[in-house]
Amino acid sequence: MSVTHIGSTLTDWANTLTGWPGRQLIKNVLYVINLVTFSMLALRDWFRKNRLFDSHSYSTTVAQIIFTGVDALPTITFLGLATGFIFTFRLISISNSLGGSNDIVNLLITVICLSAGPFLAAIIIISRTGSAIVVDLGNMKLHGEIEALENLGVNINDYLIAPRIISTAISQLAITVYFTVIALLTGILISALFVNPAHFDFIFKISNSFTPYLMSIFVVKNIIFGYVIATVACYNGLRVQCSATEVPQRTTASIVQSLSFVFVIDSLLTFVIFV
Amino acid sequence: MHDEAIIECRQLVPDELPFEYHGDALDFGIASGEVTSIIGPDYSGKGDWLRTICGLEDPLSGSVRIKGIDTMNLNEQDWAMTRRKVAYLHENTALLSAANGLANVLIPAFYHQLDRINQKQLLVEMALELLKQIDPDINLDDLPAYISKDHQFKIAVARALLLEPEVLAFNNPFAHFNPDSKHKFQGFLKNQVKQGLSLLIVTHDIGYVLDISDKIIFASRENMIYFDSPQAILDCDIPMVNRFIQQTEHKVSI
Repeated sequence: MSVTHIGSTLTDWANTLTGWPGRQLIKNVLYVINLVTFSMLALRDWFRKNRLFDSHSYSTTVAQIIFTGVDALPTITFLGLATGFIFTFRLISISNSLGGSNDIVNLLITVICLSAGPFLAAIIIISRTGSAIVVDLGNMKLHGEIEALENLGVNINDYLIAPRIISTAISQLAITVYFTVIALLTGILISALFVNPAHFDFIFKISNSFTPYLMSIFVVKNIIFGYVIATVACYNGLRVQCSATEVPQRTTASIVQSLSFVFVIDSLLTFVIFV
Repeated sequence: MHDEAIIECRQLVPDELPFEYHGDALDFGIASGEVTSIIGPDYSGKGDWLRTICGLEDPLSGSVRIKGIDTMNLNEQDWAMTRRKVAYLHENTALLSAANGLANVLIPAFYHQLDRINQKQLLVEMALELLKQIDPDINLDDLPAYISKDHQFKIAVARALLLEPEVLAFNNPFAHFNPDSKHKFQGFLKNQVKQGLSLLIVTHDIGYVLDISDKIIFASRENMIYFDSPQAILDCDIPMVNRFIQQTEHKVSI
């Protein structure tokens, strides 16, 4: 092998290595643009048809909320109780050594309400609802159900996609509210019963410290999480083409992508809000 | 009954044919109450021609107009309108697996808000009456997984008819039928045609084609040959067409 040949091979490798991050970045940016366009088109078609006031679309959305929100309550309750015991109770019980109760209240709002709550609810929704949406839409696509509907003039965007996105976003918010209340109340009650009855005051301190600004962060964050999870799931479900093996592949891809998006969005929001 | 064309094809050649086509482009129209059949040997692209005529696929050249609207670059409203006017069904048209038979028939009608025009109860009664006419033995409470293939197809037909199409396009509609139920279903279709529905059928059932068709298109890989009556195809002296009809009739007699 000549020196020139080795040199050109090394240059190729170097080009490949340096080009790889750029290609990945472009690929990911294009994917995000696809997702945004996909969800915007779905919502546009839904609003254009005045689906908000259409009883059949309304019932589809409500059914999805029941599946995503109400059916997930036992799991969310369990997680809320566990988080309340592990985090809230521990933080309140060591409040004397950490500083004033105001610091603990701020810590609880930041950790439980704005971080752990939305994040754990998102994980539950990704694993339950996100995967269910991919399997549902993937199988519908595979078995020709979506094609049959489209051939009858049914717009999939406003019949199947938009209700799932809207209801998942609403459910994410509702589930997080429920989770947060359970997690805070459990910790406060246990702490008040077993450590110091004065810790009941934390209920009022937390509710007084939860300003409209923090409330709006809480709402926006959860709606974005739900919106993104459902969009990724619907997008992956509709990417199933012709084989049953694609359904689990797309489900796995959806879970991984949703988790990644939730991490990235959480980090970005934290940076924007707190830095 | 035969008046202005509902579907009008001009110099049409489909884009999706799985072979190179060098034959003639297709020029024809479908008017109200007319039956047009497409016959021909296997793998001659009949299904692709049908889908293109129905406006489901873009043509390679020429045009398809449904109710005067060019099917290329349809906007959302025109797409919904053309799909309601020209219902397309193939032998394995899927039903919604999570909805029972009756719900399957009603869901597209509800989507198109026909229950605002005909009240909901009236729409349900219309669906039940339609299903009764097609086949009174269909179990409407079961999910599609528990319904036989021929009943599933009949439910799909009722679902399409409830949207009041002007043309019903079938690709191989009798594939899942036994002789008796096929005969009854063909009778139902004949009745619908008498009431003004147009049919566009791809089938191997030559007897039915000759009995019901106003126009017949013979499709092969080489060419599309248009006949303006069943008698015209019987009288033609094109060897390929004669051979196909004789072979098919021979198969039926066996």
